[in-house]
Amino acid sequence: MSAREELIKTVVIEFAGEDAIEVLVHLKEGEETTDEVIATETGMRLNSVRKILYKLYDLHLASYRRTRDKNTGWFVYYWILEPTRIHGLLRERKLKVLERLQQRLVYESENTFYYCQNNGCQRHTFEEAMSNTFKCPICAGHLDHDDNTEIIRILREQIELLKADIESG
Amino acid sequence: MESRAIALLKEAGSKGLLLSELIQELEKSASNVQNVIESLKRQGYVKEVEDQHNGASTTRLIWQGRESSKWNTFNGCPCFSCKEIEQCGEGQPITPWYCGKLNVWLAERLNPT
Repeated sequence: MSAREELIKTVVIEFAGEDAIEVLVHLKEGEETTDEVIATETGMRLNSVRKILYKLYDLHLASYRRTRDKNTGWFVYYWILEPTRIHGLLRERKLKVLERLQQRLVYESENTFYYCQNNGCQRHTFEEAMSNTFKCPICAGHLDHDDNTEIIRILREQIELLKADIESG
Repeated sequence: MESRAIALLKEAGSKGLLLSELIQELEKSASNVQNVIESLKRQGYVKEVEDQHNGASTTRLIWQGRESSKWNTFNGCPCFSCKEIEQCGEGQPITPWYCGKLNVWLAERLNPT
């Protein structure tokens, strides 16, 4: 199995589940196949095969061509694997993750936090803590200042790594 | 020899190298170089394009980049595999400010075991 095939397999398992691998291995690059053929070859239900194919389509890893069967009048879908799109998919995901981590960094940098020593309770911003007179709204415990310097450092570090990775293509 | 071939092909960039140029640079037999190229091609690192050189048909080799079989999720950051990422963000039902999975990941980074 090539490096790209391994990567696609990992990503497909994560996003479409283990069952999707059965369908994936029956899809070929540059060679069309139908959902019915895959269902016959895998022994899977046609509906399950179709669901997986649409998940792969949503991930841009598969595409289809549709024609109408002259005899039945039904549409026939010819599916094909698009393995080269894996890099676009991963790049897109990296950009989304980068945006979320940057949002979290701004939130951490622009707020002061207070926490309750009871493990199950939430962290609160200064405004929230003040409005509750520095008492935990869940357990009424005392709220202490939470030093988030390390969280900010970790977020900055991860953001820089991710940015460098995106820029290196 | 493979690492030297990779370095030369990388250096050549998108213009690539003629097979004959690579053989000359590596100072190895054509068959040895061809074996290395075949291996790199199989792994998807190098692509071959037909070219003309001094009126003769020849092969140009272009480095496509070493693909990793690993999905880099940056120390397991949960956002990479999160199925709710499209609904996550400022003003959305889920935000990176309060996300439990992200909090756990940050906590693990703070206190690595």
